[in-house]
This record gives sequence, structure tokens and C-alpha cells, in this order.
Amino acid sequence: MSVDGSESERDYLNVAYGVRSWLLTTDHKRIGLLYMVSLTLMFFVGGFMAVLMRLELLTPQGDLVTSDTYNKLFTLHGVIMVWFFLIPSIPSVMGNFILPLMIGAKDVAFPKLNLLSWYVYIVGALFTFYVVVSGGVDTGWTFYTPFSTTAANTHVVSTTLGIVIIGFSSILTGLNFIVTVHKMRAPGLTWFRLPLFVWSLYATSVIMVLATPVLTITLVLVAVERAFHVGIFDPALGGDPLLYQHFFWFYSHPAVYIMILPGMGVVSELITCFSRKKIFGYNFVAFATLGIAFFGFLVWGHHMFVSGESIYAAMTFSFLSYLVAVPSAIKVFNWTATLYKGSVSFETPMLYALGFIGLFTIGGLTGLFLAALGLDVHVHDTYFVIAHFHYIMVGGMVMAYFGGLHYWWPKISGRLYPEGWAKLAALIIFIGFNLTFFPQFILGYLGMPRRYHAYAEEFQVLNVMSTAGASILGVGYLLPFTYLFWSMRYGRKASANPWQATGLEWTTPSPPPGHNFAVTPVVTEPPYNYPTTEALPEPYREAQVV
Amino acid sequence: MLWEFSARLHLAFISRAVGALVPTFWFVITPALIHAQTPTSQISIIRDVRFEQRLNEQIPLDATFRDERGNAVKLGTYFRQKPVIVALVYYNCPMLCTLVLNGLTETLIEQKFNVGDQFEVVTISIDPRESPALAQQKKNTYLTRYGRNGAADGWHFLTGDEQNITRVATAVGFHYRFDPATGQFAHPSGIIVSTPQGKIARYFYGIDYSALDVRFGLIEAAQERIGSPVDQVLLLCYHYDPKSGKYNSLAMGLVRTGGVLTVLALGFLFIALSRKKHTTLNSCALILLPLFPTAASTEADNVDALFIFLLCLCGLVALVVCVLIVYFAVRYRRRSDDQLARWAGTVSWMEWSWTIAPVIIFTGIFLWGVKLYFAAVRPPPDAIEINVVAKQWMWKFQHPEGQREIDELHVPVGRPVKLRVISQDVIHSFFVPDFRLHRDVLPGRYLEAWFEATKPGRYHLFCSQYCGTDHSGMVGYVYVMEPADYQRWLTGGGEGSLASQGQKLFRHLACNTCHTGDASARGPVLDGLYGRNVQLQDGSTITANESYLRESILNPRAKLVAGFQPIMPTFQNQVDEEQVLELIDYIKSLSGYREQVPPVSAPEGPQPTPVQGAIKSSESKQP
Repeated sequence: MSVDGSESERDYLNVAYGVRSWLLTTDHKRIGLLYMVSLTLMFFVGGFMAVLMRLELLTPQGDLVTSDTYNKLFTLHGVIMVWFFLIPSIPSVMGNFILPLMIGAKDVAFPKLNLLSWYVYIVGALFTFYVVVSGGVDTGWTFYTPFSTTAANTHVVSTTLGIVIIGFSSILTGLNFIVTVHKMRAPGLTWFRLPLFVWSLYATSVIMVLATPVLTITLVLVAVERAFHVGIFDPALGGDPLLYQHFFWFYSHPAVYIMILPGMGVVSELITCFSRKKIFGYNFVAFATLGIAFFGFLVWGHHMFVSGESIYAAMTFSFLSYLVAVPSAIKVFNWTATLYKGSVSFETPMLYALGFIGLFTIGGLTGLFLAALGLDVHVHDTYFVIAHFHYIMVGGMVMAYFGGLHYWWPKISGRLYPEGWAKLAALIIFIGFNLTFFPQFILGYLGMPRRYHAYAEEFQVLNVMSTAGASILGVGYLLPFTYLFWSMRYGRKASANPWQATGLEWTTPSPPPGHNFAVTPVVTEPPYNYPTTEALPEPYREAQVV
Repeated sequence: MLWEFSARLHLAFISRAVGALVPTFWFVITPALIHAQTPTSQISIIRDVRFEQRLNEQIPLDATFRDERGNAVKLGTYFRQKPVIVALVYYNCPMLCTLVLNGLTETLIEQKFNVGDQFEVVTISIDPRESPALAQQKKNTYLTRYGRNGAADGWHFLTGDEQNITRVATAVGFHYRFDPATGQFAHPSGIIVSTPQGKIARYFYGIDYSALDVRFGLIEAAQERIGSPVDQVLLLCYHYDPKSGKYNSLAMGLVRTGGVLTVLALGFLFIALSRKKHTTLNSCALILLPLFPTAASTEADNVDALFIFLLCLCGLVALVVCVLIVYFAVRYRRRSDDQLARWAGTVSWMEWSWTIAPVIIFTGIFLWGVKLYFAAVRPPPDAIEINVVAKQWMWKFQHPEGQREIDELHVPVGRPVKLRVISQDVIHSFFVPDFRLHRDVLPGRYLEAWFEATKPGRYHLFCSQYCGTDHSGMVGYVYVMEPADYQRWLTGGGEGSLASQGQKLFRHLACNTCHTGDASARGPVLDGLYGRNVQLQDGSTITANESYLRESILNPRAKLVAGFQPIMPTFQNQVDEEQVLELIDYIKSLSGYREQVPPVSAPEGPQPTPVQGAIKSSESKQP
């Protein structure tokens, strides 16, 4: 550790050494780091598959890999990125680390259960690794029947089992967080004094607990059907393939809100800190968070507009899909208004937050296209949909993850990351992202279907542009991996509150001690209680006005 | 230092407060009070006190006054090559004129231009009783306050007699009254900027004059002979409003107008694009040609209309959000480490507006989408029926005339075509982008889709639901032909109509041993069955459509007809989907179905050699 002796306090990193102290820890902060390492690994595996896919798509013919290999690549890319990266990302890394600190608690409600969640994740990941090395799975991450139950001849059961297992990791984490937020807030920390990140984690946890069991059972049914030919989804045996789609999307649509809500929570934290002012319309944003969670359960049928669901079901789902867009719009407008008359600075986390708002807005707006029945008929299952969800997931969620990572990095590691490199990386990621995915909107409307590894000649130019962008994006992602790692050893030491932010987590040292707070804090102030010039006497207010 | 600074700020605050209070005082409270207590004559005094707009009028330059030393001077002496600020005050004014002069001095201090260099200031007393000595006193006070050298020759404090004062006051529209009761003057507050020739260029009201406004006023009055090129550019964006005496940024006006126009345009676009049926939209999209698919069906242009509207709407929203973010981020950037936010409230009506407005807009889009969708799922009654069986990894087509195709579909232009689709194995999806036609193809269940092609040509057909190894190879073409070509093509097949093929199969499978056509046979009568209601054993009725017929062949026990024994065997493993469709077509023909929808028949006269599809698909398929 340090030589200068200034750290007489032991922090959570150096309170114990050795592999066992990490693998058997119940400290939420260490568990957050365990997740961070696992997730980073999975991100690069899933990303590597994307690289291969985009390389293949440089030419209209399928010449780099065989059809079967390509099908396995996109399936595993989806499975890994959705279940092994996006869904756990912010809740399991930042939620675990920051949530107890933010509410003034010493740990989560069930620390041992928290560790178990990580082990369950690892077991699920091991199943996936097994699938990857033993020949892959090629059903698409959506496992549509009857292909996955009767026609596929790859490791469907192993993959579904792996996902079932990691589903439990989600459920247990969600459960933990719900109880933590209800029961372990510091005295004086009422619901409406909570930072919005906590609201987001809470809403996410509710979805996790309610929706994931549906996925679990659905995938178990797929495995059962595949193994025992029961006839749930096989029409030859009297089953209904569309039933699978209803079951699957009943989970998978709320799942996308599991992925994005924590990101929105992080953005609320970043925008307020780097505008040095409280959020515009706290109540609306908090209720919008709950609204997204609620309405998110009602819209699953919008994935099935051309699948054969009835016209009236389609109409209902279309209308509800428009309603679920409203709370997201509210949030975007409120974030923008938060900047007004603030004191805005442009450190890396803020760059990611601003990038999030722009890209999430574009992605969300294209959702309006997809929710329109008559228009979805054309763009369903094309690259338009791919561009839409990548704008939200990658342009939104992954940028929020990076923003939160940089923001809380001083707290997590006790070090400052190098700001110059970080800003450069943020810029490269933003540019690379847009170059990769914007052409895909055009490709989609032109009619290029999803999951094609050979495509019609006229789509080549746009595909080449997309791959070129992906190469830039890849460089952008490698940079934080490098310098964050570097900063853990060589970065400048961070103070307790390098951003001068409000929030209980910033009242602890960087990094925090194992028990977080020596004395339980008592909260008397509203959230984001940044002083403004309005509170100053007149001459000093004038002096501030530029 | 701090005291002076504080004093200045306090002064600034007081002057602003007074500047706000004074008009209120004059125009609201005072009249009210005075009206309550004052005889009518005094009310009329106050009512006449105002500035009258007299832009471009000539100030009488030959009016004579006395300068600070008592010399008689013509007003024109001060109107040389420079613009002039004229202030009408009186030096013994108990309050208002002091404020006017103070405000003027503040503004002059803030100017980069110097009094005497780029412009002159002439202060004229409206009180004929005041003396040059008093004027000199005032000059000293204000020049000291102004603090710049060389101003003495540029700032003049004049006094004069009633006649000249009245001439000038009338010329500039300065309406004032003397109240004998108090010995005071009631007068408006403000300053006037005049051109070097003495024409009135600008009015600035009140006691607090924006430095930028005055600068612009001077530059414009000097016909832009003073000021830098930057000023010329800036002036392009500003516009003087005589009523308020302020320079308003044209930009804000433009933004406001633009905003209103945009909303109106969007509304108009919504109505125009959603109401009509479109046929020529695609030609407008020609400029975007490489980025936009061809519109080759009757519905394509309508779908494109919604797409274009959403592009405009969402593009606009995205642009506004991005511009606002960039603008706020730059405008409110942190310039010093300790800079605080200036305001942290919320605006409730805004939040409710941007909650409710999206719901309304979205409902409109939803309704438009529903309209398009209904059109897409309701085929017209006279459509040609073509059966489509998808199997890994090919498309197989059955024309009612008996033509079979694999991966190629020939259709006539200008005639609606209804596709009955079913899959042999897994879920596929029939996708023709240029027709905006898209339908999943399920195993075990018929679905329908329809289109009417509008342009002859060759169009991509893709499978767009992942179906296994060769999903991206499950592609083909739709050939849209002129009616005459299509008829010629139809006669190229050799197997006889689909119904006759079905009849052959019907006999081959020995269906006719039970379904003899007698009412007392072991199987129900099939003549006239299609389209009729059937009474089932459990008491319910069902319409005998294609799905019912299919189910009866593949799973006969599912719906037993009332009065018959459950002895029909299943043909599940003996017929594939194509053969089921043949049988169904035969059964339909027993109800005279084909007469209701006459197929495109062969023309009379000599039959030329059938024309094969001009471009063959590049891959050969093994059925």
C-alpha cells in the first residue's frame, strides 16, 4: 500500500489480502468488484463475437465464416451481452458498490445472499463457456420455437440452463436490493430524499423479481420440450409456437427496462453533479421511473405484430407501447432542463451522460416508428430494429455504465483516472458508435433482414460503413480498459469527494473502509442540495452572474 | 474598493428597482391615488405626460440656448459629424431627472465609445428659470462621475427660454407639463439618440439604458460610420423596437416564429400524409434514392408517408433536444471553480405539458399506424389467391392455375394478390421490402397477406425470421409482369389447375371412399361445404374455411361433425402442406369457388412460346 503513512485507516481493499478474502467476502464493495471483473470479461467475449460478425458483413457473400458459425456468433453475442453483461451491469457492479453507501448503510440486507448471487452468475457463465467451446448454439438469443425445440441441433439445453441459472442471480440481487432500500435507509432518509439512482435500482429490482421467473419457466419448458417432445410449442403435437413468443417476450420486454433504468439513474446522478444543481422535477422523474417499470410489463406483444397475433391485440400493444414512451420522454426533457442555469463542467462522466441523452433520445424516438403498426410491418426483423436497440443499449446503457464507472472510480479505487485519455476515449466511443449504427437504420428501411450473413449486393456500402465505425468503437472500448487498470496502480490519489458532489457515498473516504460509515449518518436535507446563487446575498449573486 | 463596488451594485439595484417602480408609480398607483384625491385638472396634467414617437423628425438645430458659461449657442453647434444623445431634464428635479442622468452616466461609463470622440451628449433643461451656473455645477458633478478625459468638450449642459425649450420638446415628442401648485414639472423619462444631421433615430425609455442597445443606437444613428465590423454583423441579428425602446434579438423572434411555423407544418404534414392514399410519394423521395427502397405496391407509398412524417417529427425533436443540450452546456458552463448554479427550481406547467403533449401526439401516430395496418391485413375480395409453403430453406408457390414455383413468384401488375402462407417446419417470414409486405409464416396455421403490385419489375424476397443454417439463403424474387406477359407465363405450366391436382390426390388417397358425395356416406358431403357453417358434435358451429379443412385432414378428431363417427384417419404423415393446399383447393372448387374469383385465364388465339422468368435465380434448389 502507500508509503507515506497518510492512510492509517484501512479501506475495504487492504483490510485483508488473499484469494480467499475475495472469494469468500461478504463485503458488498468487494462483491461489486468481483462482478466488475466477470462482466468485463464477458463484455470482451461478446464484443469479440460482434467483431467477427462485422468482419463477415464487409462482403455480401458469406465468406469469412460458415453459415452455422455465423448463426452461432450472433446467438452467443446476444446471449452474452443481454444476460451476462447488460442485465447485471449497473445493478451488480455499481448497485452493489454504491447503493449501501448512498443510503448510509453498512452493507446490503443479505450480504451472504449477495455473494451467492455472484457465484450463481459464475455458474451460469461457466455453462455459457461450455457452450462456446463445445460447438455453440445457433437459435438466436430469442430461442424461437419450434426451431429451438425441434430443428436446432446445437447446445440449446445447456444454454437455456445457463440462462435459467443466471436468472436466479438476477432474482436474488433484486430481492436483496428491494429489502435494502426498504429497511436500511439511514435515519431521516425518506423516500423523497433518496437519490434518483436508488429509485432506479428499486424499480429495476422489482422488475427483476417479477419478470425473471417467467423467463426461467419458459426456458425450462423449451428444454423439456426439446428433451421429451411434450408438445407445448410444437404444432404437430398440438402445441402453439406463438405461445412461446408470448412467454418469452413477457419477460424480455421488461428485461430491456431492467437494462436501461439503472443507466437512467446513473445519468440523473451525473447530470446533477456536473451541473451542480438539483434535478429539474425530482418528483416527475421518480414517478416516471416507476411508470416505465409498470408500463414495461404491458407491451410485450409489440414484438409480435407480424407474427400472427390478432389485430385487436396488436392495437392494444401498440397503444400501450406509445404510453411507455412518455415517461422516458419526461426524463429526457427533465435532464435537459436540469442544465439550464446550472454550473456545467465537462469531466468525462458528464460527457458520457450528455452522450447518453442524445443517443438514447434517438434510439427512443425510433421506438415510435416501431410501435406504429403499419410501419412496423415493414421494418420488423430488419436492421432498423437492430439499430434501434443498439442505440438504446449501447449508445444509452453502455455509455451510462462507463459514465458511472468513471464517476465512482475514485470512490471504488481511491485513484483518479487520467482525465485526458478518458475524454478522448469518450469522444472516440461516441463517434465510433454513431458510425457503426446509424447506417443500420437506413439498411433496415431498405429491407436488409436481421441475422443474415450473406446479403443482397446493394447493401454493401452501408455495411462497410458500419464495420468501419465498429473498428473505431472497438478502439474506444479498449482505452478505458487500459487506463482504468493503469490508474489502479499509478493514478493520482483521490480525495473523499473529488467532484464536490452531494450524496452520502461522497462523505466516506476514497476508498471507503470496510464498514462504510463509522457513525450512521442522519439525513436532514433534500437530495442534490447544491447551493445556488439565489441563496446568496445580492452583491455576491451579482458577482457570480456572468 | 469593496465599498465602492458594493455601492455601485446597490445603485444598480436601486436604479433597477426604481426603474421598475417608477412607471408603476406613474401609470398605476399614482393615477389611482390621485384620481381618488385630485381634482380633474391635475389628472389631465399627468395624462398628457409621455414620449410621442417622432422617429426621423428633425430637431430644430437653429434653436438657441445658453451653454454652461452663459454664451448663446445654436443647438446645431453640437450636431457636427457625430451622433448625439439628447436628454431633456431639469437640474432642480427632485428625483426623476437625477435618476435619468445617473442612468445615462452609467451607460456612458459602460460604453467603449467615448463622449466627445464618437458621439456627443446634450442635456437641455426644460425649466426656463434655471441658470447656466447651475448647469455648470451639474456638468462638473456628472463629468467627475463619468471619469474619462476629454468629455468636457463633448457633454453639454444647456439652459434656455421657454420658446426654444418648447420647440425642441415638441420636435422630439417630449410632452411635459408644469404644475404651478407644486412648482414642479411632470415629464416622461428617457433619452433620444439623434443622427449627426439632427434627425431622431432612437428612443430609450426609463432611467436604465442597456449599454448594448445604446451602442447599437449610436452606430445606426451614425449610419454605421462608427463601430467595428463585428458590430455590423451583430446588428444584422438585432432589430430596434420603437414601442419598447429596446433592441430585440431577431434570433429570438425568428425562433419563436419558426417554432410556431414548425408546429403548424407538422400538423399539416400529418393531415396531408395520413389522409390520402399515396401513389407518387416515392418520386419525391428520389433525391434520397440510394437510401430509400422502391415503392412497388399500392400500400408502399402510404407506409412511406408515415415513415417520412415520423422522420420529420422525430428529427425535429432530436434536433431540438441536442441543440438545447449544447446551448445550455455552453451558455452555463462553469467559468470558475466556485461558480454555483443560478436557479434550481422547477416549472410545473412545463412538466405537465411535456407529459400530456406526447400522449396526444402519440395517439395521433397510433391511429395512423392502425389505419395502415388494417389496410395491410384486409385483402380485397377479388384478389388472386396464391399459396405459399415455406420450408427450410426455400419458398414454394402454388398458383391456382397449377403453376408451381420455387423461390420465384410471378404475379401480374395491377391486380391484388392474396398469399396464404404456411410453413412446413419452423417459423419463417415472407418479406418483400419493395411492397412493404411482411408476414410471419407459421407451422400448423394459415396466415394471410396481400399486396397489389404497381410497377413491373423484379423485387427481392427475403426470409426474415431466423430459421436455421441457410436463413440468409432463403431468398428469391417476385416478378411483376404486365397482364399479357403473365397470361402467357401461366400457360407454360403443364400439370393442370391446382384444383385438378387436388382431385387427383383426393382419389389417390382414397378420400372418395368415405366422402362419396351421398348424404348417407361415412364422411360428410364436401360439395358446397366451403364457406358454409358446420354443426359440430359438441353443439358449436364453425365456418368451413381453409383452416378448418386443413385441421380436418391432419387432425380429424379435433372437430367432429355432428352425426358422424370418429373414424377418419389422420393424414398427418402422408401429406405435406403443399398437398394439403391442393386438396383444399379441390374442395373449394366443389363449392364453385373458382367461379367467384375467376383466375387470369389464357388468352384466345395463337399461343407463343411461354416466356420464362428473364433472370433466373442464381442458386439451384433441391426441393
